[in-house]
Amino acid sequence: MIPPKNDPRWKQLVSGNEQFAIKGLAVRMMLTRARLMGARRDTKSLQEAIDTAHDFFVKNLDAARDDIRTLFAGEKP
Amino acid sequence: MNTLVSISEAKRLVAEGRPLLFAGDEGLLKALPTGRWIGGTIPYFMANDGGKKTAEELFVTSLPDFVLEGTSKLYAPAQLSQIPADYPENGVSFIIMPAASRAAGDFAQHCVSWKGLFDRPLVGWISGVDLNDLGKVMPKVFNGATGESSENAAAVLHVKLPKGRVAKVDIINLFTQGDGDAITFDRDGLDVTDCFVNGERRNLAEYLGERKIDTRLPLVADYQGAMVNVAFQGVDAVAKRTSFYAPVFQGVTYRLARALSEDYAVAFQKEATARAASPVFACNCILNYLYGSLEGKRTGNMTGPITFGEVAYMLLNQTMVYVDFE
Repeated sequence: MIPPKNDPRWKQLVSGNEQFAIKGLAVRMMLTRARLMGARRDTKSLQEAIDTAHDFFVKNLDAARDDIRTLFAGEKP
Repeated sequence: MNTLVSISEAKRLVAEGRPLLFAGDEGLLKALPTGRWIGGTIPYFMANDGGKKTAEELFVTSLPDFVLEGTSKLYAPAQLSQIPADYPENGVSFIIMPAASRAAGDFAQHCVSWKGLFDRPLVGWISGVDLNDLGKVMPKVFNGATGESSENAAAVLHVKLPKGRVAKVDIINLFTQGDGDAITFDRDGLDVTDCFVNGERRNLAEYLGERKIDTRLPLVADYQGAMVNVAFQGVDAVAKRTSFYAPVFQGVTYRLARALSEDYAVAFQKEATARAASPVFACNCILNYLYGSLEGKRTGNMTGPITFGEVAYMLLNQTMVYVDFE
């Protein structure tokens, strides 16, 4: 359900501007902060942003299940 | 239970051993026996019968029977970044910090860079004092486990939930971004001189003065649909400095809030009803209490302390924060 860190969707997620219909407050805040890191564009910041987002979803698989589906459309739960 | 109680009732609840959150007068908090609780000073409340100021009763939040365990701790400013590492595997952490303390300032400016901050629900408030005592009396927090109080540390109660139960934090913010200028900053801070208005460098105090901006309305940022306020603390037209109750962050786009089209209390009532929330814990901002003239008015079914800042993972302003268990 959660793509591996090397999946290109992570880079799109943390460095893009696309707005998603996210339900969870923690997901909204975490993603905003990850995007601020990702916006710096250097490789280290981008990786840090991906790590932050990926680790969050791994630890919150149940609570963020709906939002994970929304963010990674096409993934089957 | 989420209500104002007498000191004798508060003592009885502590003796039962259930994890508790207290808000109220310093003298009453000092009189509580040690136990599984944390507390903070404040004399303003959203009570069952509406907004109320009292130093005679304590507001207590008693957590439900299924809560397995609660451990409390005071975190000195240098220890704050350890809070996420102490999050329970499944649970919620309640935090109270004194207004104008180093703990509150450090938390406000740096918490978003702490590893794992968003991994588990972190919710709470900034303790305060009677507005007539500002500058004379210091806000405090208490760790009930030891009876210690502090003007500079954060009191945290980490609560463990059984498998199958989840804590959910949410906010009610009546403010949304207006249609005006995009305001950004080139550094994080609680106190600024310059900003960028639609990309052009400007002195913020001058800009606010020129536009005759009503600074009771906050700056609002859109965090993927969550509206996050930054309330104005002061605008010094001579020193050309603007201060805030929560920090502005570099890279975030702010806009001045749209003015509310209806009475605060009515709007809160509508929103709270629409959410159908019956929260375990809630708090609301002193600025909403003051600007919305909430004394004697109910804000839906939400009861709790009226605070000098609210925490839902990060420090918020002019926002109602609540947590529910599912």
